[in-house]
Amino acid sequence: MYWVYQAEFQYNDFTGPIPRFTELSSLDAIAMSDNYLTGTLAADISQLTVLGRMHVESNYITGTIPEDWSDLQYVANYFLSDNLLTGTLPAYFGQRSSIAFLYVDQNMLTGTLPSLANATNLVVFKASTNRLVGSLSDVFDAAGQAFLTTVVVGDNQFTGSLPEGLFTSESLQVFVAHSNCFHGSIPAALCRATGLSALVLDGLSSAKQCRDQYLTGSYRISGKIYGSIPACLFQLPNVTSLHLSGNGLTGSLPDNVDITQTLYDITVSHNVLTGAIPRQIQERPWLTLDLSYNRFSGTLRSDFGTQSYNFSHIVAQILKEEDWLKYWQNLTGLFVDVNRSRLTIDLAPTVLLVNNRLSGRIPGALHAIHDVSVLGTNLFTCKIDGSDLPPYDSGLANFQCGSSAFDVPYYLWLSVCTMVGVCAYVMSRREQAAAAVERTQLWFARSRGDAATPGLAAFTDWTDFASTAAVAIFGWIILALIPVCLTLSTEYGNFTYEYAWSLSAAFLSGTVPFAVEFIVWTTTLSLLCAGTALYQRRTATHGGTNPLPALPEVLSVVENELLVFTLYATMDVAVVVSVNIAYVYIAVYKSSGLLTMMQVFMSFFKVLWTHVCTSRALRQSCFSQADYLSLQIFVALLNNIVIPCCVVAVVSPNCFYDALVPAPAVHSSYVTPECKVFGYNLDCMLYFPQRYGTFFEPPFIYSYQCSSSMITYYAPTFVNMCLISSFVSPTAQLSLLWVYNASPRGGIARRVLEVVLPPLLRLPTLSAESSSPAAPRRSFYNVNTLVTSMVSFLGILMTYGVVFPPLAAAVTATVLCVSVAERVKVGRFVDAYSALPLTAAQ
Amino acid sequence: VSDIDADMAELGSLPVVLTNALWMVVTISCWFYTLFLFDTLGDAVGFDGAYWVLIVMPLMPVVLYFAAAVISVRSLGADGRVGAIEKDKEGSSEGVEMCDVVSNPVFAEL
Repeated sequence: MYWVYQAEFQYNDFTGPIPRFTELSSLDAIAMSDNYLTGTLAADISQLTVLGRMHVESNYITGTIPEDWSDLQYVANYFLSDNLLTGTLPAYFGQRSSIAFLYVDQNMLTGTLPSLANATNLVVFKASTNRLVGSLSDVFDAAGQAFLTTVVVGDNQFTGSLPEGLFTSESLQVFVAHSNCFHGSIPAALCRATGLSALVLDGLSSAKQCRDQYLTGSYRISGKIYGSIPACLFQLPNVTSLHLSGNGLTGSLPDNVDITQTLYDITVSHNVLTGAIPRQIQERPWLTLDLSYNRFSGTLRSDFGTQSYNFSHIVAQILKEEDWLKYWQNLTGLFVDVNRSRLTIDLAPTVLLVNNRLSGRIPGALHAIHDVSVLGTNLFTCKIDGSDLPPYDSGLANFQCGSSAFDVPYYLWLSVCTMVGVCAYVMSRREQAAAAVERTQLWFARSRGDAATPGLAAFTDWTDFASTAAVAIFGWIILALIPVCLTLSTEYGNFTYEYAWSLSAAFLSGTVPFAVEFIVWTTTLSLLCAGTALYQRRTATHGGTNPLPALPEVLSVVENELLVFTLYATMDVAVVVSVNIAYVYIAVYKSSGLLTMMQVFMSFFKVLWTHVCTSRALRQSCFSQADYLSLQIFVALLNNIVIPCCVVAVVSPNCFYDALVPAPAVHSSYVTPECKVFGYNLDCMLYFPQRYGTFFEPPFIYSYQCSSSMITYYAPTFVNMCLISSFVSPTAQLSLLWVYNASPRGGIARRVLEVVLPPLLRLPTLSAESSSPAAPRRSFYNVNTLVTSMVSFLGILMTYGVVFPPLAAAVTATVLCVSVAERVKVGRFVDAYSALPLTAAQ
Repeated sequence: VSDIDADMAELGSLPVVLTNALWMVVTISCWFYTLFLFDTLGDAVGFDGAYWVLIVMPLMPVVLYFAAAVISVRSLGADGRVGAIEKDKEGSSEGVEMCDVVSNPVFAEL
């Protein structure tokens, strides 16, 4: 049967081993691709001395590539892709000048690549998705391989630097080397590859085997790939796709260069690229523009993507793909659904700009793009209803425009402050209010106490201290920190527009702002220490201190209550961490409407949990003594400052979320001319463009915006908390008191309010028995709650307030409001019972 | 009134509480500032140039504490009160030791 020249069995469901063809001595082509063949590659195929082409791709063939095939002198095309081949790529492949197409990709080949320098007719070499190692430096010889158009070596473990010598080849059209273990920089020699159309260098050092991996599975770049993107890559005359993602590249995109007209696909995500997005890139429409996960700053131009652009070469490419499908349909008789609408789908642009530092308005051209993601972590502004945001953006639901999340509650707080101020002024002008004002002043004065009531004196001292400290800190913030923040934001801000955040120390970058912040903040802390020392020196001079608890006594109590304390601490941390995780999760991943609700809930939670629940728990656990006040303060600071910071650090994508949870693989694609029809002389008769997918797992690259996220996520909550503590809570108490006084004695409302309202407010009627010296002492006031609350607010003032001065105004006002409100309540109580003749103390 | 006065008498230990609260606030503030300073510097010079901030800043309260202690001792020495305090310590209860342990001498000893 020597007259059989070709054995074509591809695209069937054949199973079993590859049949023996040794009897067919004239066979010049074996085509068994796309079947279910198993077994190994037979060594005796080497007896087919005139064999020129072997297609066995897409089967289940195991074993190694036989060494005996070295006798096959005339084979031009080896298509061994997508099998289960193991072992190394034999060295004889590099010695055969006849080889033109060598496809060994998607196998399990190991070891290094032999030198292919003598394969002088090599056109396409594909070895991607194997386990190949070693350097590529000496594998190719650009000078001797004049026909080499395609080198695909992605998804392996190649080390060393990229093969610069290869890029001197003018014939090279496609070079794909994603997901390897390369190191070094992107060589400028690439600029000499003038024939290059697709360059895929995503994740050059991202292969699992060479990662600096964290315990959580994510990994860091650790400087293996460095340098910037050579500007000339954008000017290569034939380039269509540039993929350079996931390499930690620095520098900026080239400005003022004429980008070649053929380029329609730029993917440079997950790098550390800075600067503005160049005008040439912004003006042009792109089929794929992926600049996400970088540090691009500035604004988007209003003429973004509006420049007229000739997509004819892309259309022609897609049409050629379809023509191939039709051709193949005619050839095989198999039905292929060639739909012209695919042209529209393939021409649908993709624009990804998330996780950058862009601000300003979003250009209208992005509204029409369906595959768009530009919002996340950028600071774009928008209308109040968000109608000018891209409707198809994947982050639309949870995007907060500019600083609107903070602006809304802050304006509300300012409005309420103004209203209260106006009301107070109007009332003070009315004669009938004069008596009430006078009465209030009397109550306020009554709260001062005297030598006979040391507790009241201490209470007054404490409220005085808290108010004075808050005002002093706020004064320092106004005088020193606001000008500093404004100046630094203007000069060293990460965003062009920072909205309310321009009054903060967030979003800054540079050594100068670092030095200024360091000096100003340590000065603030020193002033706080000095101020407190002065205050205490004065208090001590007045002799207002009580004996301190002895250490052994305290320790014994702690020892006795260790179990209770542990349970309490565990419960507190569990509840507070859970609520904060829910809050930040909603802030990051859920809708803005839900976030507003959560902010209000969070504010109530902060007030109620710290001031009601934890203090009650401590009381039940015998921890309500003054000795344990420090513990309460510690817990309050933990709940209000430390835990929120920790939660943001864990949950926010600006912090370490991607370090804890590995980011999903990034997929992209490129188009390469693929030979579909071979002639009898084994040359390729017909090339068709074919799209191939690539992927890489992105590294964790810290954005240095974690601290800023703490401000942006929690500032609105703290403003709401100030609103509740300053206005809502006193108003609610007054209203309930009014209802209580208006309710008939014995009624349900009155009985309920007797439970709800604290005795300090409702001024219970005292019987002679209850007021006698022999009667057990009744508790009217939980002073721990007040101190804890005040220290919490001072803590927020010293942390969030110092970093974000507008918040300091709200916190300071809240401290003053709470201080005045508490003193009026206590004064009213003292005034009421001082007048009673039965009061024992009187 | 005596009842509410007794409720508030818990504030009698205010100096100790205040001292503890102050150092808690100072410590937490330092940790808080650490993040901002690290981000500000790290964004410009990278992790290798900024990691020291993560070590130095959290230790700043210790520096402040010892600075305050030194100032306090010098101030007491200048006032001629060190001897008196030492004498107090020798003859006093363990409460003074508590003061030493939980608070900065600049505040607690005054």
